[in-house]
Amino acid sequence: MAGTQQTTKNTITLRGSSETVAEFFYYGINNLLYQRGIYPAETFTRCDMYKLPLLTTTDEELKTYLTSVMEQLKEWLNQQIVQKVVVTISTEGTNEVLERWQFDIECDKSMTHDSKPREKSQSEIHKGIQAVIKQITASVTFLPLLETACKFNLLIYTDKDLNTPEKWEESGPSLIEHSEEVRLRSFTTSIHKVDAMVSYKLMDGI
Amino acid sequence: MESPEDNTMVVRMMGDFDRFIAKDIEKRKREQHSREREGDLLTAHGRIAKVEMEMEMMKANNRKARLEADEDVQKIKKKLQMKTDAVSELQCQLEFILKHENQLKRDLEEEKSSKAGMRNQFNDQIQDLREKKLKVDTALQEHQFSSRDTISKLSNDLTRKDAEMKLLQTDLEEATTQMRYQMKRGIGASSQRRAIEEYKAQLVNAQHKIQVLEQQIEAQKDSAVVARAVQSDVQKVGKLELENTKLRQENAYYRETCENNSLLKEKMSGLEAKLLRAEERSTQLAELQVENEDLRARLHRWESISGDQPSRPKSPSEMVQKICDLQRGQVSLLEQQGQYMASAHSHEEAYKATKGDLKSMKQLLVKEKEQNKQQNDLVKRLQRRLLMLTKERDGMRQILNSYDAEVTHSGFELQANTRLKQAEENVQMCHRQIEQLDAALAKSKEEAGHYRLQVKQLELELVHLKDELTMTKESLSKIVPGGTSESDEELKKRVEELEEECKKLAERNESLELHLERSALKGDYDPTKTKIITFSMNPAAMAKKQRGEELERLRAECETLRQRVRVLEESSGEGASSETVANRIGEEQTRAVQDVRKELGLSELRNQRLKEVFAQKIQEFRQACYRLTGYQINNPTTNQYKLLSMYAESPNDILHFQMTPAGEMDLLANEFSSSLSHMVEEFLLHGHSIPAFLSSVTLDLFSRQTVMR
Repeated sequence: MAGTQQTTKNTITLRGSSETVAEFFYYGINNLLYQRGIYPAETFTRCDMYKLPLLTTTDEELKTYLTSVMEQLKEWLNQQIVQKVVVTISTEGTNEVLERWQFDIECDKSMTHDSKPREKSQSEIHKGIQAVIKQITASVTFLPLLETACKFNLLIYTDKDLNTPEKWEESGPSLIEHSEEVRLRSFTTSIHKVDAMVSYKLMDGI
Repeated sequence: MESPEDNTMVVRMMGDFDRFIAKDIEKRKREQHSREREGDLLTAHGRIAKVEMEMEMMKANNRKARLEADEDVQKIKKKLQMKTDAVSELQCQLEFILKHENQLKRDLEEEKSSKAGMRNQFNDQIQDLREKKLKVDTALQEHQFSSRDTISKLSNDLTRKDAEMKLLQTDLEEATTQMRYQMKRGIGASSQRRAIEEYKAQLVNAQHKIQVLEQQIEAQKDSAVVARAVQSDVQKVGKLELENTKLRQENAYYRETCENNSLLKEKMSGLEAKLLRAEERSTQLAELQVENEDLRARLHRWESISGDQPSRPKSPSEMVQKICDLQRGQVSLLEQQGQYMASAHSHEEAYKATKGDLKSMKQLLVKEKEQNKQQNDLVKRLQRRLLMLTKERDGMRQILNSYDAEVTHSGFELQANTRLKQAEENVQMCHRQIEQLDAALAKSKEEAGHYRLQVKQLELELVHLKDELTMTKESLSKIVPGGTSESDEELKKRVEELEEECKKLAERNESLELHLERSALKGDYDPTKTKIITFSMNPAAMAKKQRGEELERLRAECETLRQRVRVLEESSGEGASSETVANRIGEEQTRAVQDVRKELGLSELRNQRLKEVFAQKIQEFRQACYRLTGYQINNPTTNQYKLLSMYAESPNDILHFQMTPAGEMDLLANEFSSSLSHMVEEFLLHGHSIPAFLSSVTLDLFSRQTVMR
């Protein structure tokens, strides 16, 4: 996934932006899964990305799932039809959604594959991504503890006219009743703007 | 011993020295001897003292040692005594032990003797037992022989029995086959019996029919007699028919006349009604005429009045037109009023604006006046100063002139000239300043004049606007005398209401937008624009699927284990291996299937029997009904019943009834029923009783038959 950036480091194209955003999701989701303990900690390995020590999974099944989703997401980002990417965390037994990490994607639709690259350096973008991932890591402190075994799922909000591809299916929004929302930081590649947000179920007695 | 003082002397004068030394040595030897003796003495004294000391020491030690030795001795004595005591004790023990040993030896000997006795006894017993065993062996052999015989006998019996059993089995099979055959026959017989019963019923019917036919034959015989009588009558029939046709024609004529009559009657009643209505109409007409005349008179009067005044409309239609015009005019006036109100509003606003302007202008004017005053004061002051300066200048000139006069010859001329020049320059400067001030004054005066002009203009404008306002107000009041204030208030109210509504709506809009944003935060979406998709093989779905599969598996396992537990409980622990359990479960299942099949067969058989019984019962019931009521009741279709009387003259004389949804019975018309019209009328139409009708029919038919007989 990593390292396929555009040749000039101070400008960015639509393709490059999609690549960067998808890469952020890959590492961000990996980090999220580690931080929230959805998969056991020993199945993660350390790697340095965005000048941060991040953890990525070594579970082959999860890896193939994430990479295939990211490939598809990249394609849709190039088509500029993605509105949101949502990571839901639900209990394994009752399928009750406990956490919902929502990443709103605003796309500058005036940018096409043929237009001139925008001026934005990679280090600047990486700084933004770093801040978002740091905040996600820090938000573990205020989120309620996940007491039961949990599973995660990825929902992608797209435009209505998209033909659902094979292996994909339509789904509900997996909303949480009695939730508390917290807005997180956002970053932009000057073509795609990603607003992060988390909503979580209010536990009894809180 | 002293050493020689000078060595050189020794070398040079050895001889002297030897001599000297010889003398000296002797002397010295003697001295030495004495000294040695003294020394020896001293040492001896010391030694003696030492020895004495040692002796005393030894003595003390000796004493000490003796004391210690005494103590030791005492201790040893004590120990010895203790030991002697111990020894005596031990001796006592030894004696006791010896005694004990002797006793034990004695016991041992006794035991040995007893054991020897016992051994002898046991040997005897063993010999006895051997003998017994020999006897038993022999007996056993005998028994074996005898049992072999019996076994062979029993096996023979068994083979015989087997053969018998086989025979019996074959017999049984034969019997079962026979039984089946018999059962089949029995079923056949039952069916035959049913058939026989049916035949019997048919036979009864047939007998009945025969009776009927016999009756008919008898009746026909009678009728033949009657027929002969009738034949003679028949000849008369031709005439009668002619008469009949004539009568029929007459009858038809009468009927027509009757119908005409009724028609005429109806017409008459209609005409009477018409007449009544016409009379009413005529009375109404008269009333209307009166009214009309009255109205005409009124109209005439009105016209005459209108003729006097040309402005009045000459006719109601004109009046209507005029009213319409007036209404239109009112509408246009209303529009005008609206326009005027708008203009008034704008004028008012303009008026307010001009008022504001006027105020500011007045303020400016006041300011300007003040400035003007100040300027005037300044001018006065400056003039005063100018006067003073001119006076001063005149004074100075006089002084200068006097100086000039005084100092015409002196050398002060230059100085005076310079002073004069300076003074003149000063004066010029003053002049210039004065001029400047004058110019400023003129300028300010001009400005003040300008402002005054403006103020005047504004005042004029104000007056003009005031005039306009009053005019418009007057015009408005003229146009809508009184209604304006109310409508104004209404309009104001309405405006206020609308403003409030607008506010409310704005608030609502805001809250809704907030709500929308919040729901978007929660992840809600617009389904017309957005759709949510997810990878079908996502981890959550997979976990769910796995869970489902596991649950299914566990359920199946639980089921098998339950069965196993049941089997184990039944067999109470024997043969608990999984294979046997599985076999048992299979057996049980097949057994259960067999049981179910058996039950099915039984229930089918029961069903069949029940059917037979029902058929029989129904037949009986029908028969009983037929015998008791005299009617055979059939049910060819649902809700329809056909009744055939026992005494019916032909099998076609059927009464056909139909059951209505309300549960009532209706008689359907056919030939037979139409022949019974008097009974129908009497019992069904008036009496509403079907049983009475049926019994009357029965009685009728019965009486006929009996009469015929």
